[in-house]
Amino acid sequence: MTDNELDQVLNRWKTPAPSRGLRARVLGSFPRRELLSFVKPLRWAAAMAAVVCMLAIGAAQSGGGTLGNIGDGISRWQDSAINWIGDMWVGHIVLAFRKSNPSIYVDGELRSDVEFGGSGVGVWVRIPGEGKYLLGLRRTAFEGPVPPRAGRFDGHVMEFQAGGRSVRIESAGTYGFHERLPVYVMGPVQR
Amino acid sequence: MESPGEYTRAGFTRAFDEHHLALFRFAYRLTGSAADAEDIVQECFVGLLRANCGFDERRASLRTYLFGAVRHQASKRLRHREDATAEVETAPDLRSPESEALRGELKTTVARAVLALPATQREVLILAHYEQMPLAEIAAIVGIEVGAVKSRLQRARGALREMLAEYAERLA
Repeated sequence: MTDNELDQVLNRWKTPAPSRGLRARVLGSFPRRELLSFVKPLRWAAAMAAVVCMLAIGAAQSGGGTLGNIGDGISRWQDSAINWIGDMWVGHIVLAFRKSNPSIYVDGELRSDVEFGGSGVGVWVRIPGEGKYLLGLRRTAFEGPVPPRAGRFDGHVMEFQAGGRSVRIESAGTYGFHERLPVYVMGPVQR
Repeated sequence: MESPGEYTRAGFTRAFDEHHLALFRFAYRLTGSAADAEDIVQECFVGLLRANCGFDERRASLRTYLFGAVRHQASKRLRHREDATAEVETAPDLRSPESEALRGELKTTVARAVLALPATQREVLILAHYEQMPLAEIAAIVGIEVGAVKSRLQRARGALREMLAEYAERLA
């Protein structure tokens, strides 16, 4: 048998094709990035929990109410976090409301000369001839004493009393989930 | 090329698409079993994702590494298999006219003859004849000198020539 004949005979042996499932099985074994990105923060959370536990144990062993101080600190931090989330949410709603170019009525009369602006959870209205009123939709909008509650905001209409006048700011749209927020009014601060 | 264990999904897919058919053929001809061949190919690619898989692109190409991995996996399976000369799987021939009988018989006989070769000769023959690999690359995969590859290849072809002489005459 020549080399050529042997090659021809050997070439009779064909291989089958691999199954279609092979590709899916192999590529399915590739680790999902989402899982990896989840594992990392989980490790951090576990590490933080371990640190907190160690601090608590250390404080308990040292005695003298240190554990209570840590508890108060955690509680204050939790309140701050909740307030911050609330401020962000309301600020987001008010920003959308302001950008919608709402109509402003004073004592039922549509006024185009009234200015309306602000940032975050604090907004202001300037009524010509009367002055500028500061409005807060959360108590955290004021650094000092919180002014009286003088109106409400439901994501569509903001109504309040300012200087004995009834002010209504109405948007074409509705923002947020129709939750009713108080409006605290301070002013007039400028004439 | 990505480092072992640091493949992107696209890079891993590309490596699979580029090499899996040749690896499957090699594994199938080493073991005579399509199921074993698929398992071997899967194990090799999954192993590639491990950081300690041993692949170093400065020492060998990915293809060389993967063929070496298939060879290693196949030899492990064959060692554990009680009947190392297992029946070769052949797809049923639905045409089955009488004129095809000899071809079908020859196909099985060739497979049996190749599988009957000593493992060291079989792997060299498969890589050289069926995968058309250069002797230097075969030497890198098997881990021997090029001269030893030539020697094993000659012995394998000589043994096959004897085993298949009868069928070559009948086909002529």
